[in-house]
Amino acid sequence: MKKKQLLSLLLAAMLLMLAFAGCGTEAPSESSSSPLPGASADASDDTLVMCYPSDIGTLNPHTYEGKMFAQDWLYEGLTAFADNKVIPSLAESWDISEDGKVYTFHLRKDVVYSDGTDFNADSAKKNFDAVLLHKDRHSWLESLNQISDVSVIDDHTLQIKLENSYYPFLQEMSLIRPVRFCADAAFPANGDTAEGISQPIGTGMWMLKEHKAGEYAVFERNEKYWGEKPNFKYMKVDVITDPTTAVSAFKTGEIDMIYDIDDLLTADAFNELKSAGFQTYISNPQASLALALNTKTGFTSDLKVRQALEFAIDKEAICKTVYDGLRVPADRLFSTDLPYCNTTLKTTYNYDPDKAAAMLDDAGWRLEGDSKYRSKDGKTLSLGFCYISTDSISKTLGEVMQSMYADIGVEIKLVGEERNSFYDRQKSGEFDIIVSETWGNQYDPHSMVASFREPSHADYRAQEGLPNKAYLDGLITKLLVETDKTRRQEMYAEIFDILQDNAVYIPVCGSNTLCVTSQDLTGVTFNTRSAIPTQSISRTA
Amino acid sequence: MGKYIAKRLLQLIPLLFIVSILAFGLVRILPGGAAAAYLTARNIAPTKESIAAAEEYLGLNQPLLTQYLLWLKKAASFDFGISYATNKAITPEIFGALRNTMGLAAMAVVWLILISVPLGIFSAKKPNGAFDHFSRGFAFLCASAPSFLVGFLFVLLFSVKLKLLPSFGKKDFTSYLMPSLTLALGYIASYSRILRNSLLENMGSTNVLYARARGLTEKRIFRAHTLRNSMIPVISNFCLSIGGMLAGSVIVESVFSWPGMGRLIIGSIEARDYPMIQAYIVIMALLYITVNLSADILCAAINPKIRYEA
Repeated sequence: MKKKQLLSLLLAAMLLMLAFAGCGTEAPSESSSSPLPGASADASDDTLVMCYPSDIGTLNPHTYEGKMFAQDWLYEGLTAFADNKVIPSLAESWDISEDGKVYTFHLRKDVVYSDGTDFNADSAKKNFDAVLLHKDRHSWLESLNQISDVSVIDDHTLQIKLENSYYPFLQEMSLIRPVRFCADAAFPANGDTAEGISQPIGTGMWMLKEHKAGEYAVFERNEKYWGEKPNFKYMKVDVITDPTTAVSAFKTGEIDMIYDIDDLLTADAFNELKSAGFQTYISNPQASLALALNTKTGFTSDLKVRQALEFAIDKEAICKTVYDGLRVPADRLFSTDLPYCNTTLKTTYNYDPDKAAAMLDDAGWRLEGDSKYRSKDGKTLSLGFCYISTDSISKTLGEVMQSMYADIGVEIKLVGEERNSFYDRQKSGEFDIIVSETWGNQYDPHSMVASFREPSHADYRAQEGLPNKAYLDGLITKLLVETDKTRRQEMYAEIFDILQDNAVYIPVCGSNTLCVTSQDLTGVTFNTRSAIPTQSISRTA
Repeated sequence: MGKYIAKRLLQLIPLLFIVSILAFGLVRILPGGAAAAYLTARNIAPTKESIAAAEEYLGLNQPLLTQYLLWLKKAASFDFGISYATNKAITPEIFGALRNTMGLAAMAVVWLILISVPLGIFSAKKPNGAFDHFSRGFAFLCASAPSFLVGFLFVLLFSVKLKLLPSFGKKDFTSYLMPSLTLALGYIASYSRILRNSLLENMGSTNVLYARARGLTEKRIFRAHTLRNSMIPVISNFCLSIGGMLAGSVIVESVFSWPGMGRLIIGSIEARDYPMIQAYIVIMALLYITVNLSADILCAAINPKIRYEA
């Protein structure tokens, strides 16, 4: 009797577990012609499969929760950004009043949302109103702070009035978020999109077809799209969190492309796949990687120490060892290719460890006895290098710098923390050296420079100790509303010189995007740092 | 038996109460505060104004006790609110992930039974024989190889080289094979050895001697007496490790990009998605408690001594 009881109990437990397993196993949603079992729609000709390290999130055009590349696929702005220039998008043309304060946008007449409803001035205003309802959430975006009125002139004409003439306005209207447009059907009942939209419907070239949070998302080509449509009918984005897994999945052919906008492809893996015969692409530098130094607290508050750190870093060696030769050294925060950035800097810091050592001697930091590191008043010259612990490349960078700075007697302690603790340090200014990247070609230099004034940004904290910080902030505020281009150029030059003379940043190298695809894909292009252009990608027969 | 179960269930009430306070209190202990976390998870810069607005919206300006009671009332019906990071309801997301992890664990149990029981039995038949040595070596290897290494080796062999199995994700039944085996290997190692030792111990016991004296066949003795008694430590150990299997699949889920609880919680911790972390704590605690309770009841059912002594 007992034996039976035990057996039946065991069986019941097993069945229960199997039932869960059964629930979890679903038949593949589409029939498979792929050699891999379970690869479902993956390898079919009209689907392009790529992967991303996290879920695409909620695709709300007015908030910041979703992944930017996917928001960019679904929604469009009044203007767009291509080849480092502002071009027409939903607005086919615009007039700017002489004082630069009134923008009149002439909207395209052939645009419908993917649900078939019209995109017109009313709809555009409705979207602007929803975004402006929460100005406090978008304080970083100066354009929105400047808008004083949005009005509908006629069905296809929208007028926007600004408090001041703000020169980057058109460029900021091309940003992926938060000023992009969704259909009426996307708005929740109360019209406030900040707390969620009912469905993601935009005018963009892709529509969200299926989304399984944490697993994958499938996008379908928007046949009603007004512009050049993509070649593929579907885009599938699989969630793969681990870089090694992503590379394996790519090798098996389960995914066609790794477009690395979020560190899923290391330089090592890129070069390995390249030599294995896969197609590899590398963009021009789209941003720059720099190290911000704290000018307010700690040992880096001494200008001589900061300058010594600038001289002691061998950027060529870093590009070769950390980035496998895929990146080029940078000698300034913003690349000279960007608007207003081709200035002649008064100060330059070429690699010269002897000079660095001499400067530290000068500043009173000396090597005493057998000590490896310099000290002054009984304190060792030891600096924390802050980075996000999961970012293995930053860690390698930190280790290389550790050895470079050890040569001049400066100790570097690696402070790797989870993402949010790192962000907390940026906001509070509790760092000596912190990894920082410029925002990318669509934002640089104006948006990033504007954010220098925001206390919640690492840049503000790094610059806080400058004797002329208040002057710098004032200069930026004036610059953003300056109408004279020549004067603006002079002001930018002055800002860059202040930062460079005071050694606030150590520019390290340009940041570029890597991409690998299977042999049968062509037409991969790059645009801005967070976008994945898909229009020209196609599969060769 | 009924009395025993009722008593055990009553003991759960204070335990659940403590769990709820810990899960709720967590948000107040962690750095930064809930409003800042809410804003950060949504990529909004936390300024004074935005923090004040978020506190108002999230109800964080109410008295602590009111907040706790409101939260508890909802949590009791498995409504954990809205995720800071995704702005969607937490309950369907976390139960979806739980189902995927349970599926993986169930398949791991199948591997566990299929591999460790024969290994244990055949090793015990001829202790220190060739097979026993082999199974000892196998167990040693399984127990010492880290699961991420085993996982990647499997992928390299079965996906990249042989192109037999999908390398990641949850697609169909074949997707379960590699991750579940990876998850099971560590357990297979210990259970096969536990079973072997327990079998050897029982083989020498007096009841087996008497059974032989009664003239029962060796086969019958093995099945009805030795094996049955030897399963008891295995079962009680196993019940204790179900919870560990569910909570400990983090690495396997990351290697195989499996959409389960492990990956969910890692992502939530990174994003400081406090309501999701709270829900995870409550659900995992409930699971542990349920599984342990079932294990105790099962043992009590097998062994009357336990329920009478309790």
